[in-house]
Amino acid sequence: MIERIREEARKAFEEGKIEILIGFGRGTLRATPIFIEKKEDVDKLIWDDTCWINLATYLRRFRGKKTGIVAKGCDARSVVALIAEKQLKREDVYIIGVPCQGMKNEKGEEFLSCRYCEYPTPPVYDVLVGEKREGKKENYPDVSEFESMPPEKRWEFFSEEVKKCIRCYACREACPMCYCEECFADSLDPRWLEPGLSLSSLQFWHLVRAYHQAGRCSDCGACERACPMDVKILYLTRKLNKEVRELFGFVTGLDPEALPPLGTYSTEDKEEFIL
Amino acid sequence: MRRIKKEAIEKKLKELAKDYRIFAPMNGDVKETGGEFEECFPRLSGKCAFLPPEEEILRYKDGKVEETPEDKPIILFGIKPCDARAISLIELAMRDEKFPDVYFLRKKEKGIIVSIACKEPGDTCFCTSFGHGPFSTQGSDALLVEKDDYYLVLGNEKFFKLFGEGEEAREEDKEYFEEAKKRAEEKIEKIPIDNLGEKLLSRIEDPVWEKISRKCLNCGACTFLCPTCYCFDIQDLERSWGVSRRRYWDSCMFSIYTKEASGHNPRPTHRERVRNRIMHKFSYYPYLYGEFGCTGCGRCVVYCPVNFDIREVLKILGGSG
Repeated sequence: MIERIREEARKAFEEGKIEILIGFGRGTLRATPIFIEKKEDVDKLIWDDTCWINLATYLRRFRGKKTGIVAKGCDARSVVALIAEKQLKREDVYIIGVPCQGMKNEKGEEFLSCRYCEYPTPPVYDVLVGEKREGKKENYPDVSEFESMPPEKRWEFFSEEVKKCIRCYACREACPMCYCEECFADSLDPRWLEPGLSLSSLQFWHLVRAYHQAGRCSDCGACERACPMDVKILYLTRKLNKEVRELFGFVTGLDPEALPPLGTYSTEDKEEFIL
Repeated sequence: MRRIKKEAIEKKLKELAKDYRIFAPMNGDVKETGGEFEECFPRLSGKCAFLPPEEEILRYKDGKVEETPEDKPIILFGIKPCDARAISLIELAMRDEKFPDVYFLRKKEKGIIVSIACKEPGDTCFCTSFGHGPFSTQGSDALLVEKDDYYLVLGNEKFFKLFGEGEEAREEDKEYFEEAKKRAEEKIEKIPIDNLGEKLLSRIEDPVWEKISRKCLNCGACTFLCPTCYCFDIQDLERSWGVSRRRYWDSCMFSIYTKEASGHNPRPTHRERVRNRIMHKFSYYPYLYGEFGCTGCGRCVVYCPVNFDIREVLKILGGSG
């Protein structure tokens, strides 16, 4: 696999398709993002089951440059979502798609987002390395479990989790879709929420962060994995992704031309909550 | 060196919870406890005791300013020697002649710090690089070394007055101490730091900073978990009864940290922000206070989402990588 990735990367440099390539290299603890600017360096690329950062996060830094990205299914879907939101031009990004075998934590356990991954193979790519992999069709069993709890239990679970947060914003910075010039959490005028670790501030931060992801999140799970405090947050965005699918029939990151549901309006939109 | 029964110290600590606020590693983080502690390398460091993530410093109420009253004195117990050292490093900045930080210092002056020697350092530790190590006493009122059901204690009067004096350590205890210390120190990687401050200063415009900093996401995980990072922000918050002036941990990794009212940001990208974090710890700090602003605890290595490894950065910039 890794030889194929390096070969395609080398070719892309030789053919002038890319000026820079974002991929994974060997880190000191696990795979780490690397930025390759010449073809001689493509041998630094690696691929293993610790490549869990979503590399699409870095793409906006290289706008205006022909940028290559080694992308697993979820990374590629975030690239598509960024294109759909006019943050990138399709022709500026060269996607070396890698069908993903699933990523694991330091104990060798597969991450939740990978366990239920529907799109291990990038739906959009310029070149695909390796055989396509089938995704799972389980329709968010983890979310159903959360939904089955009574409201007060859900609130309790949510509150206990967010209490661990120290507001370092690793979740936000690891997310390709958190690209606002000014995050609502940083705004001083108006001050949408207070600084500090009061329960209400933490609840506010996590709820609004999740809501801003509705129909934009690729279920990559990088936010939760970035968290140094082990706060569970993935179930929130996964719940919203499930809702967006049920209400609008929309799945993020499959088609760069499809308008994201929150960026459009249709008279056919369901309004079941009114009646 | 003294030797004191473990259970005597543990019992005393619980008794002291009446008159002191006890902070200790518990369930993986340093937090306030009723005198309980667990032996671990906590994720949130000992700085939480003296510089909490959030604290009120004064109130404006009924047209008057009220200083937040002093709380009970603090005992920070059971942390690793690197965390105790870290607090003494923070103190160097807080003891600034012109602007001493009264809120930190009043806690620190009455507080007691008891560390437990680090017999099993981790793979990401590099504390010996800075001339200290897993058995360092700097910043501790007492250093405890576990031996069977005793603690061997190197402590000061402040500690013995509170916890009792136990008995004089035996010859074999001293041998045990030296051996355990040597064994622990040998496990730790040493990063060369000769003239590091000067080297960094001479490379401030080096293009290498762009390369080093590229993968940094500019979250605050490293700085919040760092036991020596002490930056804070002060904000006035409206309350039904008036105004609460509070301070919060802040991070030089955030873009808004240096954003000015005009909108101009003197540290606009990851390059300037990462450079500042490294320069502050390894160049400005030794220049101002004669010590590096890092204890080599390795938290920023372990918890960085993108595996930004400060050891590698120091090797590159220090000329050995």
